[in-house]
Formats: sequence, structure tokens, C-alpha cells
Amino acid sequence: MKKAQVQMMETIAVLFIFFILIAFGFIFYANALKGGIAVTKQEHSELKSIELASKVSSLPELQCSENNLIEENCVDWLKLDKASSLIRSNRIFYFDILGYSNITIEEIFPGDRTYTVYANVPKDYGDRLPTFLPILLKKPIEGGYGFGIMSVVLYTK
Amino acid sequence: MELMGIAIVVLLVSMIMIFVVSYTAKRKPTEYRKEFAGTELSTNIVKTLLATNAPGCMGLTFNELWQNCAENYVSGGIPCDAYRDSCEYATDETEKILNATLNKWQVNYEFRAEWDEGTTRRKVSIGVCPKTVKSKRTKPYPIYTNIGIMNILLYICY
Repeated sequence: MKKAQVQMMETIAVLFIFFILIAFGFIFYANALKGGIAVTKQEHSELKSIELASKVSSLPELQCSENNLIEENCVDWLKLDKASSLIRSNRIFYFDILGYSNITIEEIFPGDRTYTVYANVPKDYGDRLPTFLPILLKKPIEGGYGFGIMSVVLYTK
Repeated sequence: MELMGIAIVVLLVSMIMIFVVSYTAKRKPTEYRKEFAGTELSTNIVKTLLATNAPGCMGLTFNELWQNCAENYVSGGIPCDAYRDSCEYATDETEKILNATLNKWQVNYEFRAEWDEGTTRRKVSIGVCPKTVKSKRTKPYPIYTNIGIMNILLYICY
């Protein structure tokens, strides 16, 4: 009888340790998964930031065109002022396209003016991801092109 | 005997957990933005710069200014203002633009305009990448001149 009891206790001890090991395994797996999710989230935010920069650089409200032919990497200087007020008066529509971001166009050469095209900065944000794109600034009245930088800052929560 | 079995299982499970945790901890997110910015920035900055017009030099584009510089390097290019010809104007203004962009973002660079004039290799450089650091170069951007091809190169120093 005693021998049987000892054997039973041994079995219970083994099972107890086994279940503790499984519990530790689950805890480690959950932590590893959490880390993997954070990495994937960061990668997704970076891709979204690139996507936003590409979207903004091809917005018809800003794009240059000549005889219906679109000029790549170019912003029409005359459209800038109107585009800013158009975007401001249709915030909900543009929120779907641009989300929480800040888009500015800075003239580097020959002048030094800066235009804020869109500004929607949340009060609390997790990451701030800026992307800078060199662009041509078409000046239809004066003729020719200036050198500018489009700054697209994406805010993620 | 059973205790030895348990000990072996505990050891195996611990080793697996250490392996998994160390792999997860070392994994860094792929820096898509850095890769994009590096590629787009260096390629587009040259392309955009060369298409820019210079109102201070008869409204010519930087492409035309560098072309004129190469064709008249020895004799002197067209006068842009009282003090500078096309070479000096293009060099000065290119430096100002690159300083207002790349330098402002704390990105070191080296801009080079290279061409052959007969057997002589000519070069105009702005900025320098230290030899101890790596650099990423754009594809050479060719400017066609009547003495041959001038290559514009932009090196981003890491």
C-alpha cells in the first residue's frame, strides 16, 4: 500500500511539473508573439508612410499638367494656394485619403516660401514618420520650375 | 529514473525557449521607409535639381548650366552675374540647394560632375564622403555636351 502511495505521489509530482512547464511555454510564446506583432506594426506603419507620400505626390489638386499630359514629380505653384483652401473646406473627404498627417511644400530655390497643404495632427500619437520628396515647382506665370521639398509626416496611434 | 526524464525534458524545453526568445528579440522591423527614402531621395534630387530653372542666370536649367560649364571649362562659361560664370553659378547654387536639403537632414553627401575633355579628366566636386564610411551612389545621370558625356553623380554617405 505504501509503495503504491509513493508511486502515486511521484506521478502527481511529474504531472504537476509538466503542467508548470506548459504554462511557462505559453507565457514565453505569448511574449514572443507580442514582440512579433510590434515589429509587424512598425513595418506596416512604414509602408503606409510611403504609400501616403506616393498618394500626395500624385494628387490631381497639386499635380502639374501641360496639354493634359501629367508631369511627374511636379507641383503646380498656382494650384497650391487653392488646393490648401479646398482641402481645408472638405476635411472629412480628405481625411479618408490623407488621415492623420501633416503635408507641407517648401520652396528651396529660387525662393523660400512654405505652404501647408494639409494639417491634421492628433493630440496623442504613437509614431511620427516623416518622408521628404524633392519636387519641381512649376510657375506657369513666370515660366520655369523651382526646386522644392514636399514633407509628408504620418502620425500613427 | 522519472526524475532524470523530467530533468531532460526541462532542459530541452528551456533550450527551445531561449532559442525562440533570442530570435524574436534580435528580429528588427524591415526599414522600408529608410530604403525608400534613400533610393528616392538620391535619384530624384539629381533629376529635380537638373530640371530646375535658374532665374539668376537667364532662366537656364541647371542641366544647361552644367552643359555650358563642361563645354567652356577652360575659356569660361556664359556670365550669369557680375561675379560668376555658368560653372561657378551652378556649383554655388547646387551646393546651397544640397545644403538646404541633405545637410539639413544631417545626411552627408558628395556631388560630382565628371567629364573627359580630350585626354584630360575634369571633375567638379561638392562635399566629400570620408573614405572610412560607406556610400551609396545614384546611377550616373548623363548630360550630353559637344565634347562628350558629362556624368552627374550623387553619393550619399552612411
